[in-house]
Amino acid sequence: MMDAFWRDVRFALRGLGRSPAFTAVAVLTLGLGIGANTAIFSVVNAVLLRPLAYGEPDRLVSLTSGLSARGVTNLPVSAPELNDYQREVNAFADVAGAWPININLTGSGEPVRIAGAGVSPNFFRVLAVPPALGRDFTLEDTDGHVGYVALISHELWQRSFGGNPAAIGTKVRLDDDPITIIGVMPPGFRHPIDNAATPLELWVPIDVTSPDPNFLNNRDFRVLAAVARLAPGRTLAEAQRSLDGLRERWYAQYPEAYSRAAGWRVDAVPLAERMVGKVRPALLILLGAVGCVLLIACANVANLLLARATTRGREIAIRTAIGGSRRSIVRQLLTESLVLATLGGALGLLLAVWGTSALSDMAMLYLPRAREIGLDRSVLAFTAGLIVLTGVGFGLLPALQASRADLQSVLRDTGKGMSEGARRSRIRSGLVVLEVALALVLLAGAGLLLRSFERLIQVEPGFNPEALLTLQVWLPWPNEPEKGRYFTPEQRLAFYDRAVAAVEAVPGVRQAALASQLPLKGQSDAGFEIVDRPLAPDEPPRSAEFRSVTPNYFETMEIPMLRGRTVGGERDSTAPAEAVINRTMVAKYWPNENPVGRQIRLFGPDGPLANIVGVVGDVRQLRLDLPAREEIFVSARRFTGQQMAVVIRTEGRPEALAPAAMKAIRGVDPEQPIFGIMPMTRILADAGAERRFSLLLLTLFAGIALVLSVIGIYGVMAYATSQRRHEIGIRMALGAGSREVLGLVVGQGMRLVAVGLALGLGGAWLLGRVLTSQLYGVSARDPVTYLSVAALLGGIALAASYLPARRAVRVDPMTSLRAE
Amino acid sequence: MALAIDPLIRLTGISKVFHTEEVETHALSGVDLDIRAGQYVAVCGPSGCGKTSLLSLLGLLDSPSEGSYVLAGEPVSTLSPSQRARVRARAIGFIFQAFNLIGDLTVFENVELRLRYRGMPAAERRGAAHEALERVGMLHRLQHYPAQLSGGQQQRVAVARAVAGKPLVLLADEPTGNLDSASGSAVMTLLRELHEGGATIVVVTHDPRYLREAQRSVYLYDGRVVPAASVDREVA
Repeated sequence: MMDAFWRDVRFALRGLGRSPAFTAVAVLTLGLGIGANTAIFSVVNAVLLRPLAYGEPDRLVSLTSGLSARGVTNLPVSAPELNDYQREVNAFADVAGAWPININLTGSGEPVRIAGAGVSPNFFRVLAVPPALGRDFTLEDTDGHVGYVALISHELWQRSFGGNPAAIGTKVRLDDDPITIIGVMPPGFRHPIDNAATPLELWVPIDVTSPDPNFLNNRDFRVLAAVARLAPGRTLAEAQRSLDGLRERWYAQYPEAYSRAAGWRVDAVPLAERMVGKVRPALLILLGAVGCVLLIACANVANLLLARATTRGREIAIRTAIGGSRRSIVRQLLTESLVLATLGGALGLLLAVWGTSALSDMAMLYLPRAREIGLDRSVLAFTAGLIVLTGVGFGLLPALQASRADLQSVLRDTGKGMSEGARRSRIRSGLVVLEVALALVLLAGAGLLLRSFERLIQVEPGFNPEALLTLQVWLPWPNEPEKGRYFTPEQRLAFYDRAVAAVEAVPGVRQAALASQLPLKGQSDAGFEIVDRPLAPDEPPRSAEFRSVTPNYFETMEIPMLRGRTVGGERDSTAPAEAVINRTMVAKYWPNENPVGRQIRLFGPDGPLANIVGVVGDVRQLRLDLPAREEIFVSARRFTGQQMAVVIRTEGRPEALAPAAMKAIRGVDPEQPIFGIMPMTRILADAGAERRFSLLLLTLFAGIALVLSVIGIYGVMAYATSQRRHEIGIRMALGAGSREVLGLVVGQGMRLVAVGLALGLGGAWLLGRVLTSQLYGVSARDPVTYLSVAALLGGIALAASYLPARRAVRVDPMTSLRAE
Repeated sequence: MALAIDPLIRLTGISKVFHTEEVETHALSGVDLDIRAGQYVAVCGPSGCGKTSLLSLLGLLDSPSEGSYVLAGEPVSTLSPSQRARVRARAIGFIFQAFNLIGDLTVFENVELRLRYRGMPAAERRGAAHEALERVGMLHRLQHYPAQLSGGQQQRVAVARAVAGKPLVLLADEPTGNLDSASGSAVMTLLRELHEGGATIVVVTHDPRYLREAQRSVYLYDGRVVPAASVDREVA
């Protein structure tokens, strides 16, 4: 049995070696198809399929809050809420919280900012991942609000401590506090709520049970990402029922914190779903797209094999004549297909190694778990499966066809001008139709995303992003803040004033301003009330985006001032603050009035009053594809936070000024890390990263599909033309001129293309419905896109048919008739 | 079918040389031949003597290396390929040894194909095709495909295709070569009847039985037209 197999393999290799052009085209085609599938599967495997790297990950649950009436979801939870979950939801074995924070690591060379998290001491026990080195947190570690110990990631350990086990017990300074490293997490450990581009690398324990109302013991202070572990035998549904009951109790017990009108809700979803649920549709679409590419590749190779089977008819007939069974012939031909698929798979795997690395880099900003993308055993098993599937898929039909040859007629024939069977011809035509249809589906999908992306980059962000450099500083906040260098607003203000002055002194800087948060870098929601306009009983609490800015922020950002003036430089904390609001807020609350001079109360009934002094144009704060929401700007001189962004309007390329700007701020405080330094145009580009990821890949796959299907159309037409040389000779003998012959060949090709386009348009319409969530500013049934891609594909297919037709015109009727 | 122009075909000093790699093959050398309208001419000679080359030149499937060819008073030896195609569609009917019907077309479509290339309107085409098929006794097989016909029937359809639209000349290359004797006789009878109806026919044949059907025989030897007696001598 094995002997027969190896004999078939040897014969297949010899046969393929004798047809190098055929082998090369088939292997390249399959390599592209299998490679693209392997690369995308490696992403899907890492992001969607591979279990989270925690103990019993399917029992981990993410808990978030939401406000149904305001359409707000995925809010973090507060420490009192976390403690309620812990105590009152029996379905949970344990509940932990994490507060992502930026920590300044100083005292060991260049000050750096590390993405980290303050976590409840049980955090790693809930995840069931103990440190690889050292020990886990204990309750005793949280003396004070934030403990003086830390766990670090394997990567940070390698980078900063050279992987030296002596790092355990080492003291470093984090936000000016002396902190002892007590453990190192295992290699590859990722924090659940993580950004692959800036992974969390350090964890400190925080006391979530602290009674201090100025720290975490405040139901409105929602900063914790909550993770729970289901108790043995308990289900998610049971947990959700308990959470719903808890909410009812909150309505009664804490009416000031939980408004029934706002539609408070607590959602428990599987942690894996929380982490990757958002990207699942896009990834599945991409998986479908590469599946189409592979189908096209298989159709192409099947076509090549059908053509080859025709020329090998005599060989197969001889094998049959000397006693070869149909089964043995099919086995031989299938072995050839599998050998081809294996060669294609090997090439595909090479392409996938490169593609996977490129995908991982490209997806960092957008895909959770992007760092886990790679070729593992599952991916290799998938590729092996693909090889067998494609080998049988494209080989079976041609093998069955070839083995069905009419022995007598083949053997009687000299082999010259043998005509193709009608059934085989129909199969080949069907495969071309399939290729065209699939290519059109992919092109239409890519076209829709392209038009959508085009619309997105045309969106006016509300400011001028050109020649604008941004950077961020996070002033240290030690465990005992009052001992810190930047504890008081005056200390912070003094630093920012000097830093901005130093930056403005850099040659090439036109202007610098501060803002608590940059546009498109996250939400900064704050409640407010309008003086003399109380909430109606059924009206949800009012909220808006909130930013503290320096007076020259609007001028620096080139945000138009529509009414009034900018915020002043007031410091007097007893007088009402000054606020500038945006156009959307005016439209919502003062549609037919001048809001300048009206008063609002910030943050709630006990918050500071603010006089509205001006109105500015809208800025897309959250996402380019979302309209601006209401926004309130107050003076950074009055509300001076730990974290501020510096925006710098430059005269030339903003990137060129980055080193000088950093140096200027370091001149004010050499220990102050500066991070996130990038041109504003990059922030805008990153805001479209998710769409760009899908767009680039779908466009790439559509391009491959287009090339493969054009090769397929060309191959079929060239082959059909060569098979019709005799017929063309007869037609020319009967008086057909070049026009008639061109029409005959091109017409044959274009009839197939037309059927493929019609089927493809149907498929594209279905794809459009799936893509709806990925589109912006363009309908899933956009006729311009559909017609454009159909015209593009039709035009290229016409060219692919025209080339064989040109050759057909040059047929010498004498030669072709004589050949018969 | 007979035309007043005389001769209908005039070949003067026709030579045809084929070049394959470094070998030069003289298929025809200095052929002079006149064929009058309405004549039935048989071209014969041993294998490789140039019969098929001569027929190809006469049918404008090929052009001579030297010499002139005048068809119905028009010089045609220097026409472009597309001009030659137009002349073929209008003036020349072919009957091949291997029938050369197009397998994907019905009997009717095969017969009307040349008329279509000629640009004849559909109604006229239909009439002419029906007339030709009736003449060869194949009108009842209008919608059949060639594969559904016997060899003799296929050749009758090929004859119908050749005569449809009344071309100036019918060129037949071994029209009975692939047929049994009964079918071959039927086809030759058909050609004779066509000739009696006024058609100009040039037929290449090996079969001495059918040579007698022709009014005139042209013998080719080594690409030259030779008297029948000299051929006999050399062969002897």
